[in-house]
Formats: sequence, structure tokens, C-alpha cells
Amino acid sequence: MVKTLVIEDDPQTALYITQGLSRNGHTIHWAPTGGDGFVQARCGDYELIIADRMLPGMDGLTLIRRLRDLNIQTPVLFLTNMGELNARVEGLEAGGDDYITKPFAMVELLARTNALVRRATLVGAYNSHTVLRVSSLEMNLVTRTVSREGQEIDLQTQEFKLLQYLMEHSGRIVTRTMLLESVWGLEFDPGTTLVESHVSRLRSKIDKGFDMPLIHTVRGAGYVLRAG
Amino acid sequence: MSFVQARLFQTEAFRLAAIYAGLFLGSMTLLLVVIYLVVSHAFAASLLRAATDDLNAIRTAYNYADGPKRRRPLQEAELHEAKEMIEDRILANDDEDLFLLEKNGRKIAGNLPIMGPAPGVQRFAYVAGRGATQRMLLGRGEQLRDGAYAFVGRDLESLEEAREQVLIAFTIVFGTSLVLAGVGGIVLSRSFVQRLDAITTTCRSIMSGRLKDRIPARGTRNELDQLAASINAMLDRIEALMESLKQVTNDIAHDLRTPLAHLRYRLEGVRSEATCIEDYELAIDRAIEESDSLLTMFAGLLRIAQIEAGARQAGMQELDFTSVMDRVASLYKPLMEDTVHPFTARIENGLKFRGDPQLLIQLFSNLLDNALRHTPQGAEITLSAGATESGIGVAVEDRGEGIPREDRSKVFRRFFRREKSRTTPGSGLGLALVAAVVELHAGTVCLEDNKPGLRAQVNFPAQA
Repeated sequence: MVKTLVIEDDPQTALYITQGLSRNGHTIHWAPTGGDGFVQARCGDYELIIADRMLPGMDGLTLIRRLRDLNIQTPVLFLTNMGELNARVEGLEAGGDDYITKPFAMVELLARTNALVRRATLVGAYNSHTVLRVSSLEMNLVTRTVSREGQEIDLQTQEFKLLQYLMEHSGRIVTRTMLLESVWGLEFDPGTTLVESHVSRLRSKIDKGFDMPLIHTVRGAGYVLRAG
Repeated sequence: MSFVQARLFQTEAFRLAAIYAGLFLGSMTLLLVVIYLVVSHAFAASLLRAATDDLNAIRTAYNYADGPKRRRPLQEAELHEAKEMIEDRILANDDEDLFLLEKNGRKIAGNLPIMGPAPGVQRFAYVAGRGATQRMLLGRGEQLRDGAYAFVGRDLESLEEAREQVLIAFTIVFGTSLVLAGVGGIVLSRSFVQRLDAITTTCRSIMSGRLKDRIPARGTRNELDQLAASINAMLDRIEALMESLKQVTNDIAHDLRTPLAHLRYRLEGVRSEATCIEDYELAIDRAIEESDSLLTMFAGLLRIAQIEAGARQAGMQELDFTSVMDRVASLYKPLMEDTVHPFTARIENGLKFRGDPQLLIQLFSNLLDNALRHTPQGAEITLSAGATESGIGVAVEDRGEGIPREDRSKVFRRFFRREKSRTTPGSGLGLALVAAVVELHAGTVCLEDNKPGLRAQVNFPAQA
């Protein structure tokens, strides 16, 4: 069970988040104002905080800044309104770990919360990893080489970055927007089949000629790298 | 005009003109008073000096009538020298010079009546000629030996005349200045009032709804014309913003209503016709997809609005423009190959620019996306970036059908979609965003005929 605090003043959105995350193994506490959220975040032992940026009382950015000042390092996912241009930068500067634009699809929220929780639990060991391994696929982060079943695979820089991200999140769904942000550093969705093209190219290098495909498409959600 | 006249004397220009005229007239008065005093004083002094000279001559003639040494009372006959001297002067002169020599209360010579012996400078009235009026004289008297008294004076009529001349000149100059200052003040303030009234009239006319009105310019380069030009520029900007606001409102009303209506029809249709769970699931999936695309349109509109409002200044930074363009090219390369478009990127090295990387990538990504969508398979697409005389130029060229001349400026409008492209997916916001981003970076964008195809040319100015 993942203990999650949702700080969101709109009951509809809060309910939507609660229902979606509960079904996927989260225990949800809800705080409807910034002040409540701050108190709960300080006392409760949460693994994840989902905070709206615009809140009655204390706004989301201030709230997280103050939590970070108190050395509370719980991962924070910001909810921002669409069209807010500097949302990402401001959120990250305040100490947030990720952000998602409202209105959002549940798969997107799930994928991102999973990534955050996982990253937090891995954070100690994470940097010492020099080799990522999924089934017979191996990625060496030092020599920057990739091989499958011992066969070396030649990847270009972007392809390497894409595969690295998929392997770091192996077994979990990553969405198009997550890939756009992390691999290409894009804060907007170009709205074409750009990601699909890159993934299919990578797929042709990784999976072609091997019995078991590793990169899977999850319809309506994104991609997942897993054995079988 | 009565409006103008009523306000004429309250205007700043008139007040300034009045103050200036007052100061001018004051200093002139001071000057004239000084001149008047100096002139009359100098004139009187010179009259007195001449009188004193005459008196000295008479004294010498009288005192030494009996030779230099002898000291006895003078005889009557011995007075003739002084007497003749006086009479000669009287005959030679007009009435201006006045003399008197008397002895023991008896007049020996002169044209003044007997008076009590009073030495020193005298100024008094006397009766000139026969039955003439009283006139003022200035002179000096002196007691001579043997009880004789001599007085020489000068008529002050000429001094009075000189003073009068000065006063007349003063009056003429003063009067003329007063008239000039007054007229000047009125003319100045009238033109000032008229210019201001032109501004006021225009403002009122705009307030009453005639938004196209502008303040007439006179073509001079004075402050009022500059003010008028600034106000006109401000009005142009406001009008453009209002126009775009109006357009956005219309766009939202018209263009977003259609997909919403479609969504509703579909949901209604499913409700009455669906027979199994699968039908419902399919319908719900499609409804979600449609609302997603609607939300994307809203997000696009908001993004454009924020870019146009200049809200994203925070993202501006010094950029390695070459690497930004390389990112765009590498981003699109696989997609170009998948869609069978021969893609060439020619990007000059070492391009520098101050801008927002996210927005610039989105700009060129939209242009490339457009090229992809509107060209058939196998049509070449080229992205080129290089330094130009005035900054940086980027071109996206394709070999598709192009856009007819009359539509080339319209495609930058929100939601404008040409008849042919209405059936292809797309929000109609891509080029509107392009225009907004280009504007934010003070650049220009134009669409040209690539013969065949379309050439989108974006130019950014060199760094200011």
C-alpha cells in the first residue's frame, strides 16, 4: 500500500484521484486546503504527496517550499492548470518532483505516481547502478553500450536515452508525455506520432530477430518494457 | 468656438504667455524709470553747469571792474562792463537764459524781476515775458562785493520737454508690448486649446463607439504631435488586442461548439441504439477521445493567449540556436522516414539567439508537422537555418500543393482551416501558435510559393 496525501480543493477532482489511486494500491488522505495539507504532510508519514498549485489558504508552491525547508523529502506531484506556461519550472524550483496538467487521464496519473514512488524507494541504490538489466537486455551506463543475448546493439544518443528511461521504469507504464519530457525535454505535446516513430525505431533494433518482444504498447496509455 | 473662447484664458499656454508678458513689461518699466531719472538729472546738471559758467563770467566782470588791485566801492559807471555783458547775452539769446544783477535793491541789468538776495542753487517759478505764463527755472545766485547780487538761471521748459518725450516713448513701447503679448498669448493658447480639443474630441468619439477614430496629426514634430502619435499608437495596439480578443471569443463560440455538438449527437445515438456492453464501451472510448481533443484545443488556445500576452518572458535565455534546431531535426527524422518523406536538414553552425527554447522547438515542430500533414508520400521536406544580413533565417520547405496566395495570411488565424484540410485531423491552431511565438521573439513569418510547394520563412532579428 502506498500512503498518499492528496491536497486538492475541488472535491470532484479529489474524488477522481482517490478512486483511481485506491484501485491501484494507494491509501488516500485528502486535505481540501493548503493549511490542512501542510499540517497533515508534516505529521503523517506519507510516501507521496499530490498537491494542486492553486489552493485556498496556502498555495501549493509555498506549501512544498515550506515542507522542503523542514527537510520533509516526500516526493511531490503537482497538479497544474492547462495553459500555465511556466508551471513546470516553477514547480520543480519549489521542490516538486513532477507535475501533471489538469485535466488528466488516470493512466497518466498512475504512471507518474508509480515512477515517483519507485524512484524514491530506489534513490539510495539508484546512482550506484552502472548496468541496467531487463531479461536478456543489458545496458551499461558507463561504457554506454547495449546488448541483448550478448549481441551488441548500436544505438544513437536519443535512442539510448529512450531505452534507458524505459529500462529504469521497466515493468511500469510510461506515457507519451513522460517520454517527451524526460527524453526530449519537451514541455508540450507536438500532437503527432512522433513518439511512436522513435519507439518503433528502437523496437526494431531491440526486439527484431528475438523471440520475445520487450517493448509493449499499452493502448491508450503508453509503453512498457518488460519480459513477456 | 465659444467653447474654445471660454476656456482660452484658463489654458496653461495663456497663463504662461501672461506671466511672460508681465515680467517683460515690469522689467521694461524699471528700465524706463531709470532712463527717465538719469536723463532728467543729467539734463538739469548740464543746465546748472552752464548757468554757473555765466555767473562766474559776470562775477569776474563785476568784481574786477576797477582793476585788479584797487579796493573801494564801485562807481555806477564802472558797472557797465557787467551790465553790457548781461544785455548782450539777453539780446543774443531767446528766453531760455535768465539773468539778474542788482545792487542795493535796484536792478542794474537782467530779464528777471528784483528778488531777495539768495545765494546758492535755486529752483523757482517766474513769469516769462509780458503776460506770459509762469515757468520754472533753475539757477545759481551769488552775493558780490558792495552789496550787489547776481543770479543766472536757465528755463526748465526744455527739460520738461525731454521728460515728456521719454514718457511718450515709454507709453508707445509699453502699449505695443502689451498688445503683442496679449495677442500672442491668445493665439498660442487658442492653437493649444484647438490641439487639445482635437484629442478630447477623438477620445469622446472613441468612447462613444467609433473605435477607428484617430487624432489628426499636423506633421510637425512638436510635443503635442508626439503625444498625438503616441496616443494613436496606443489606440492601434488596444484595437488590435480587442480585435484578437473578439476573434478568440468568436472562435471559441463557433469552432468549439461544433465538436461538442458532435460529441453530444454521438452519445445520444448510443443511448438510443446501443444494444450490448461492447457498443457502450466503444462509445465511451470515442467520447473520451473527443473530449481529449477538445481539451487539447482549449490548452492550445490558452497557450497562444499566454504567449501573445508576453507571459512567458521567464523562459527567455541565451541559446545555442544551432543545437535547438538540431534537436528539432533529430526529433522529426524518424517520423519523416516512417511517412516516406525525404528529409534534409541544413543547419549552420554557431548560431546564437536569445529566446525560449520550448516555444522555438514548438514553432518549428508545428511547421514541420504542417509540412508532413499536407504533402503526399515521397514529397521532399527541407529544414534550413542560417545567419542572414539582419539576424537568423529559418525555412521549412515542402513539395506539396502549397497554399493559394489568398489564403496565406488567413492560415495564421486561430481555427482557420482550408476546405481541403477540414477532414484531416488537426486543431487549426498550429500556425496561430507559430505566429504568436514569432511575434514574441520580434520576428516575422511569411509563406511563399516554393514552386511547387510551400516555403515557410521565419526571420528573427539580430540581438538588440
